[in-house]
This record gives sequence, structure tokens and C-alpha cells, in this order.
Amino acid sequence: MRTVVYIVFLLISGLGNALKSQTINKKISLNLHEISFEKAIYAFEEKLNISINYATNLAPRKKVNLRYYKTNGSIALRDFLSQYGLRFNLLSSSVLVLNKLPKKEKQPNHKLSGKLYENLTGEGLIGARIFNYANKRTSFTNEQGFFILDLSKGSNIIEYFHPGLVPTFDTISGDRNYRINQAMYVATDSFKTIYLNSKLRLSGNDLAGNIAGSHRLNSDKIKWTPQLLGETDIMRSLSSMPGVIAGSEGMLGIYVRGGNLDENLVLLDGVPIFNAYHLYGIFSSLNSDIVKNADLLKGYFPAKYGGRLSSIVSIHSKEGNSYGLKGSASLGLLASKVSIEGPLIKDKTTFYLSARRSYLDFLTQQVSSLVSLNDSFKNNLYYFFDANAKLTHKFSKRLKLGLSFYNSLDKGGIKQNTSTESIKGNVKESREETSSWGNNLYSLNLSYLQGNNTYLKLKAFQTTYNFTFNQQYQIKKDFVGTSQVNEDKTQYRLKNGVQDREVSLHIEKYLKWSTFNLGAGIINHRFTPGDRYLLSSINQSQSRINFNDNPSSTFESYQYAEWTQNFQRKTLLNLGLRHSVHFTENKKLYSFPEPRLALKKKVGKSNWFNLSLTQNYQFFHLLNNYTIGLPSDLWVPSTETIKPVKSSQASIGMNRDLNNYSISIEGFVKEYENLLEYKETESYVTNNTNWENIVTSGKGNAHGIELMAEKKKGRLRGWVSYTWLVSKRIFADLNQGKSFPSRYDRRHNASLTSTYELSKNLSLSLAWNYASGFAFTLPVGKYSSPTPQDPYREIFIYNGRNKERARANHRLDLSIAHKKVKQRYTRTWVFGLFNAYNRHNPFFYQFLYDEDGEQKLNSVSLLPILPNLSYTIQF
Amino acid sequence: MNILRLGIWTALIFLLNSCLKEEPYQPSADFTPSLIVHAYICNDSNTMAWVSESSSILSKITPANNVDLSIKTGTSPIQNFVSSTDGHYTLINNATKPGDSFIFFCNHPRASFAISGMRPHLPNIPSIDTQSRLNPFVGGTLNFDLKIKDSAAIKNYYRLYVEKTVVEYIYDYKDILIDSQIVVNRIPIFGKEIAFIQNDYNKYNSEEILFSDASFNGVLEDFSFYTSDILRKTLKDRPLEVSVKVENLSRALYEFYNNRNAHIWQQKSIIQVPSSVSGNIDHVIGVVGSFSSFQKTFGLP
Repeated sequence: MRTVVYIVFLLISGLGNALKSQTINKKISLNLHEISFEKAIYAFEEKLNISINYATNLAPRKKVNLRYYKTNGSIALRDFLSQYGLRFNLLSSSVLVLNKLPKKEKQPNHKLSGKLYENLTGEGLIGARIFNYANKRTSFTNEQGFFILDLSKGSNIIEYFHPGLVPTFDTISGDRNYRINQAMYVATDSFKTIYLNSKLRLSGNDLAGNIAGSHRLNSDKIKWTPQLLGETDIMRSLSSMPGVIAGSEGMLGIYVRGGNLDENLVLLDGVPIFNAYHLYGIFSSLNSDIVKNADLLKGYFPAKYGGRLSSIVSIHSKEGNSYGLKGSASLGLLASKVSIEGPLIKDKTTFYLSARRSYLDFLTQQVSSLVSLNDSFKNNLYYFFDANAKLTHKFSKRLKLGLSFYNSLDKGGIKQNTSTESIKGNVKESREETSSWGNNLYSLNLSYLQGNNTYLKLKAFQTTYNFTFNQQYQIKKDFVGTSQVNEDKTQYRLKNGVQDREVSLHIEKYLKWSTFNLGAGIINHRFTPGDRYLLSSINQSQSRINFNDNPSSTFESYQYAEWTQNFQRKTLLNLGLRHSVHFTENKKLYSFPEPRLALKKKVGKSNWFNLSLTQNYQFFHLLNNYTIGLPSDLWVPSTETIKPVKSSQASIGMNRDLNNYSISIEGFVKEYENLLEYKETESYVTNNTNWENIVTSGKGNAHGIELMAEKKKGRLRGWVSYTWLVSKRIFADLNQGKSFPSRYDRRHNASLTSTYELSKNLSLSLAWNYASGFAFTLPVGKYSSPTPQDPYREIFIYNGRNKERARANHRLDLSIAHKKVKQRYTRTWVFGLFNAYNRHNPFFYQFLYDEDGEQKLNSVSLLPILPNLSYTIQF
Repeated sequence: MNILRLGIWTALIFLLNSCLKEEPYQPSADFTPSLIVHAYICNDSNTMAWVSESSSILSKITPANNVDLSIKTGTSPIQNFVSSTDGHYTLINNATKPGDSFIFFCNHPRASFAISGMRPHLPNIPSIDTQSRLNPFVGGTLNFDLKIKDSAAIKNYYRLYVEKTVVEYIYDYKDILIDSQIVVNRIPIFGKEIAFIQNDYNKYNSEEILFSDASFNGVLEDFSFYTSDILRKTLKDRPLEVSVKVENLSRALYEFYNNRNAHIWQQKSIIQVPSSVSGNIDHVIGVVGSFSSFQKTFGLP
């Protein structure tokens, strides 16, 4: 009998507990701000229909927030109370009592790890955020889409978030380690769906989020940046970030935090690209279609990066769709491009191919034949081309191989064929004077997931940049009445270039509160400073004279270790040390430690304090000219007399990250040693003859303040940035040893980039940029220095280097895109205006005589208002 | 359709051409004029000087006439330069011979100075020959083979250039030949020999090359160079002769020519940091230099 009674008691008790659990576990939604603790408890009582008892001294005095959407009531309450060191016990089906949490609650060691990928393409997602509501832990995916996150005991609600994709929720038990592959879905109606239900802060500015002085652009943001001649551009988008100073009008060369052009390391899937520009810098040589996302680092450089001083632009390309054959084709005013991607072996191998070519050469030939323009126009030749190919093979869920190829080419010059007939015979002449330049890149990436928390990555690549100048003349004489044919030819060719070959190993290890990054690599830099020959074939007598400058080969090795420690979810410390060793051609050894430190600390609820200290060395230099980067600019190594350039930088800043907005302010101080400049009266060179004698070394410094505000969701999105910058140089051999401003010492720089969704299919984008005028040298006086040829030759007198300022640059770019989903494909029309209000921004200044013989100073502008139109189909 | 295409291309050309836009700009000028002296001490008839004052960049250059310029060579009495117009001065019956030391005097309200120098020896040129050569874009032109014997005892600085003498035809507006005149011009010369590549400044001016004896001090050196100039009769002119000129320069003049060539090139370049031309006179802009020259002339068929 006792036994029966006991069983009945147990059943009733169990039923009661089940009923209790039903009540408290029902889903609730609460959204209350700045209320008292008592009111919050009352809200829970109302929603859960329970009574909550507690001692009044347990209630915190500060205001609290409640933001839960369709969340299990028990989890929501536990989550809310845990913020104030409290927990609850059930006394009955409708009565709870609050107690203090035990001082030390043992943390479980179980982890959730895995990969996030996009549902349509199967591509790993970089920088996606994973948030555990149970323990408030956050994690981010790495370059492979891999993440690892701590679990709490019991039920863990996990949210996965990536901009442009639908946030995804999952519930994972904390009783053991889990490994998952989680798909994230492309939003069908971006502005209604993407941010629905998302509680996450979106900028990646949480504890383990972006480090100081870094910005991320995903393909979505790049796409809605206004176009130039039908081309969106990754580098143009990056130039709207704070701290990035645009170069000359229309040119894409970026100058980051007072640095020079060659101090930016542009990486495509981790491989450097020496010249990332087409058309003398007007377009990026990286087709924006291939870009998955791009990171710009300008403050703290993680220890795995080195070899440049001012910025890292790390671009990740697409791997190809895993599920089916997809593609796109686009027709613009200047160029057309096509891309195709898909699986080769289901769930194993994917490919991505893309190519782009300009048709300015076809246009000029068409125009000259239509309007009878002269031969010099007709024979002008210019085009650019680039192609990307990527093959990814998964041997298993842990082992992946990636092979990449990239090629870019620009070719310009004159090509002319003429034929003359006379009584004596026919004469055919062929003349060519062309320059061509481009990159060539091959890479292999092998990544392996060891256990649940260690990533191994083996990387090998070869990247080459070459510039070639070719001058050729050929004449063929066919004499009447004889069988004699006379053919003569002369050719001069100059080739210079640089090539890097690297093999490296990288290890990422994720522990409970910390991450370790270790790696080492060896790089062979090969410089071809001037491979030249003169070929002549006259009267059947051939001669070839080679006069090559000796190529040089230097080696660089590096090792690094980086430790990232999370202190109580409120402080993040990155400590890194990179050690670089450079062997010059003549076996001189430069060995430098490059310490890195970044600290991120939470201040208040939504504010983050950032601090970073970085030291970098650069072992080779671009001998570039004063105003714009030219394709013929020569890369040269550090030598016994030309020391590596050194920079030391300190940054400090604050971020405030709200649900829909983020704002940041950051200041920096930067010092340079061993900067290179041409000596006064010297000019650019295209071969290495005595280059060490015509350059001089000096120091530099820069400091500035950067502000940025971003609106991240809604129909209106965008960001505004402002940079205040001072950048100086001091060289013993220049400007009489006095300090002078660097060329792009632009005091005020502002940028506004925004898009507005007019309807589901129609969007409007604008970008407005402002920059104080560049610094340049202007003569203050003149005199005549007679020569036998020119008795009135004017010579100018200068009064200080870069003492004058050009007029300010500003420009508005607009574009409107109309997208329509058809049965088999999606088509997009984009119409835009570059420089919409036709601002004549100065490109350079020159003296000209007017009609009255008076000398006037004139500014010359390059890019007026330019309309653009493009048509794209995606299938 | 063709009209549409024509319209589109014309619009495109119009847009691209309108890229060059000039706008007035008024620089701030804070400028004090300086004395400018250029004096070249050489053979009798060629010794001359120009004197002027520098002006603000938007003003006109003012020549300085009636300045006291003179030269004293060895034990010879002081010789005065004769002023003509536009700040141009000449020295009649110059007593300075190759190898002589001299002192140049200038007296002007803005600055007075005396500067000493030595006129270099005549360059020793044992031979110069020519041969025909095929050139890209031009066709047949001339190649020159030059032998130069350098003196071991002295550091020498050379300037080499070629002048072309042509009969230039003058036409009226109906393209009817009405007259002709003799014109002498320098022609571009190129080469890959050490004289061309030794000195970086040679890239600034193809109409003369400047080189030192650093690589052939005291020995007989021969090198070849060529011109890209058309040496054939055209409707515009008829070439008569070419003259190869080799000058042995004083170091100050060598450096001044280098600097000036660089400066003139930089004036035309939009990609270069401009720089002032340095000279050898304290507190005065310009140069007092000297040279001795050799010349050989070849008649053209």
C-alpha cells in the first residue's frame, strides 16, 4: 500500500512539475527599455502568469532592458537574472523565489564547432557572428568559415548572423561537444527579412570582433557603391573609409594614414598583387564580381601580416557554387565581363571562372573609321584584361585544397602598318611602340582541421608583376621586275618586373578563452630591373645586343606567434610578435622583431575602448614618381646602403555599437624611418642603373583623427567618414633639410556613401567625397637662362617643397539600379553619373600664356561628368 | 543605325576630350628679385654673358643692361664685356686661351662678385666617322663613331651634340615657294655606350649628352651614337651638313647644364617634383663657366 501511495505521489509530483514547466517554458516576447528591476520582474510575472518572490535587497538599483522575442520563458528569465548575479527556484507551479547565484559556477568545457556556409553557393562565410544566448559568448568564422564557441550546461540558444543573409537560430544541448555545418539563407526580401528577429549587434564590434583600425566590406556593400563607366570597384569602395586618402583625381592609388603608395599590401586570397590597377590607376584590376569580402587593416596588423607599413587590403574571392552551374554576364560602357561557377564533383569540387576585357581599342577604331579621324588616333591601341580561376576540392570534411590563378594585363601604344606603291616597287612598313604590364599569380592552399579546435594551413604561391616596352620597325621592299625582296627590322625591348615566391605554414588554435596563431614562411623576392635588348636585321645581317641589368634575388623569412586572450568577456588582448629576416643580394642580413599589441575593453554597455601599438618593416620599395603611380615604376630591394623602411604606430579609439548604428573615433600617431625619395633634380627610372645614387633616405611622421558613423539596416543604409590628417617628411637632401608636407597631406577628408531602396527592385546609391587640396610645389619667381637654341628659356625659382595647396577635391557619384527576376535569370540595369555636378577637380597645375601673352597658372582636370550604363544578367 | 552609332561615338569622344579643363588660379607671390648672371668663357667670338633680374612668376623678366662685367686672364690686363641689348654682353678679343686661369668680375647694385676659374683644354678627338643606320619609325639615318683621347692628369667633363644645317624653304599662303634661309638646329642623338648611360641626367635631353672621363680617364675611348633625325630632303627643307661638337667643360658648367636640363624636363612633367637650378656664384643665381670646343662637319649628299 505504501508503495502504491508513493507511486501515486510521484506521478502527481511529476505531473505537477510538468505543468509547472509548461507554464514557465512557454514562449514570450518582451521589449522594454530603461525600466526598473521591479518592473522587469512584474513583466515576467504577467507574461508567465507566475508569482516571483525575492528580497528587496537583491534588486539592483540601475535601469534594465528586456529584449526577448519568442524565447522560452525559463531561458529568458534565467538569462535576465544571470546579468545581476541571480537565479530562481520553483516553489510551486506558479511561485518562484529568487536567490543569489553561487559565487563560482563551474563552466563546462563543451564546445560547438563547425562551418557556416551560404545556402545558394555552398561557400564558407567569412566573419559571420555566432552568439550563444545562454552564456553570452560570441565567436566569428575564420577565412574558411570555421568557428568554435563555448557551450553552457543545459540548453543553448545559438544565433548565426552574417550581413545580407537571414539570421538563423538553433538550440544545442551543452552536454557534449558538437560539430555542425550550418547553412545560412540568402534573403529574398532583404530589408524585411535580414534583420528580423536578430538581437545581434551587426558591426562585428563585439568582444572578439573587429580590431582597431579595421573595416570590412562584403560583396553586398561593394555592389551598391556607384560605378565609374559601368564598373563597380573594390578599391574605390575602400577609399571611402576613414584614414584612407585618395590620390589624384579619379585615380585609385590609396594613401593610408599618411603612408606612400607602395606601403599597402593588397592580397588576393593571401597572395600579394604588386599593381592592383588598370588604366593607369583609374580602375582596380580586381573584378568586383569575384570578391566575397575585403578587409582593410590600417591600425593593428595581426602578426601573420607583414612586409608593408600602412595597410593590408585582404580580398577573399569566391570558391564557386556547390549546388549547380551559375553565372553572370555584364555589358558596360568600357568593359564587359563574364563569370561562371559550379560543382565539378558533387559535394567535393567546385570551380569559379571569370574574365573581363575593355574595348576602348575597338571603340577608337570604330570612331576613327566613322568620323574619318587621323591615323594617329586610329592606330592608338589600349585595352585591359583580367581573368580569375579558382578550383576547390574537399578531400574530406577536414581537408580542403584550393588552387587559384589570376592574370591581369594592360596594353597600350601605337601600331601602324603602311603600304606605298611606286614605279620601282612596293614598300610595306610596320611600326609598333607599345607598353604592356600586368600581374600573374598562382597559388595553392591546403587547409586541415585537426580535432575540433586547430586549423592548419599550408600556403604556396608565385606572384609576378612585369612591365614591357617594345619598339619595333620593319620595312619590306618588293622591287618590280626582280625577284629581290628586301626585309629589314629593328627592335628594342625593355622588360622589368618583380616576382615573389612563398611557402608558409599557419596554425590557428582555439582554446576556451584564448586563440593562438603561429606560423612561419620563406619568401624569395626576384627583381628584374632592366632586361633589355636591341635587335637589328639589316641587309640580311643580324645582330642582337643584350644589355641587361643584373637581376637580383633576395630572401626573406618570417616567423610569428600571436596570442589572443579574452578576459571575462570585457577585455580582449592581442599580443603578437613577428620576426623578419632579410638577406640582401650581397648577403647582408637585416633581422628585426616586429611587436604587435592590441587591447579592446568594454566601457559601459555599448562602448569599446581600443588601443594598438604596431611596428613594421618593409624590405623593398617602389621607386615611384611624385603624383601618380606609373606601371613602369620600379620595385627595388633594400641593399647594404638602402636600409629597410620602418614604421611605428600607436592608435587609440572608442566605438559605440548600437543595434542599428555604430559610431567610432580613432586617433593615431605614426613615425617613419628610412623612407625613400628621389633626390632633387632626379626623375623616375625604368631600369636599375645607379638607382641607389639617385635616391635619398629620410624620416616621416603622420598623425590624425578618424570618425565614422554607419547605419546598417533599413531601406536607407550607408556610412559617413571623416579624417583629419597631418603627414610630414624630413630629408637631409630635400628642401634644404627642412620639414615639408607629403604630397597627400590632405587636412580634411570626408566621405558619404549611401543606398536607398526605393522599392523591391529599384535602388538608388550615392557617394560624395571631399578632400582638401593636395600639396604641390609652385614656383614663386623666374628668370631666363639663355641657351644657344633658346635665348629666352625660362627657369623657375622655388620657395619650398609642397608649400602650395591645390583647390579642394569634391565629387558626387550617383547610380540607380533596376533589378528584375525573370523565369530563368535575373537582369539588372544600372545607370549612373560619375561626378554628377561636373566639378573640375585639379589633377595638376601648369603655366600657360594667354592670348595677351600674359602668363597664367592653370589647373587641369581629368574627369568631368561621365554617365554610365551597364546591363547584367545572372543565371 | 549608322547615324545612331556615329552619335554615340561622337558623344563619347566629346566627353573624353572635355576632360581637359583649365581654370585660372592666382598664386600668392612673396618675392624679392635677385641678380641673374650667365657667363660662358670660351672661344673669342662666342664668349658672352647674359645679365638680368629675376621676377615674380607672373611678371615679365627684366634684362639688366649697363652692368660692369670684366675678366682678367693671367697677366693680361682686365678686359670689359660690351653691353648690347636685352642684357646681352660679349667679349671682344678674349685673351683667355685653353688652360688659362681667369677671374670674372661683376658689379651691380644688387650684388657684386668676383669668381675665378680655369678654361679647360681642347678635347682630343683623333677621329669621327659616320655610317648609315636603320632606325625605327624613321628609316635610314646616320651613325657616328667617335674616338676620344682623355688627358690623365686632369678630370675632364664633356658635352657632345650634333647640329644640322639646312636650307629651309619659305612658302606663301598658296604654298608657293618664295624664299629660303639657312637654319642651324641641334638634332637628337642616342646611344648605349658608357658616355650615355654613365650620367643619369642624360635622360632629360636627347639633344646633348654630358659625361665625365670617370670610366676612360687617360685612355683612348671610342663609342658610337646615332641620330633619329631625318637627314633627307623634304618639302620643308634640304639638309646641307651635320657638325659634331665636343666641348670640354669646367666642372661648374657641367653641373649647371645637368641641373638645367633636369629642370627644363621637370617643367614639362606632371609627375615630377620640380627643383631649382643650382650654380656656382654665392648669393647670385646663374653660372660662370668655361669650355673649349672641337667641331667636325660632314657634308650631306
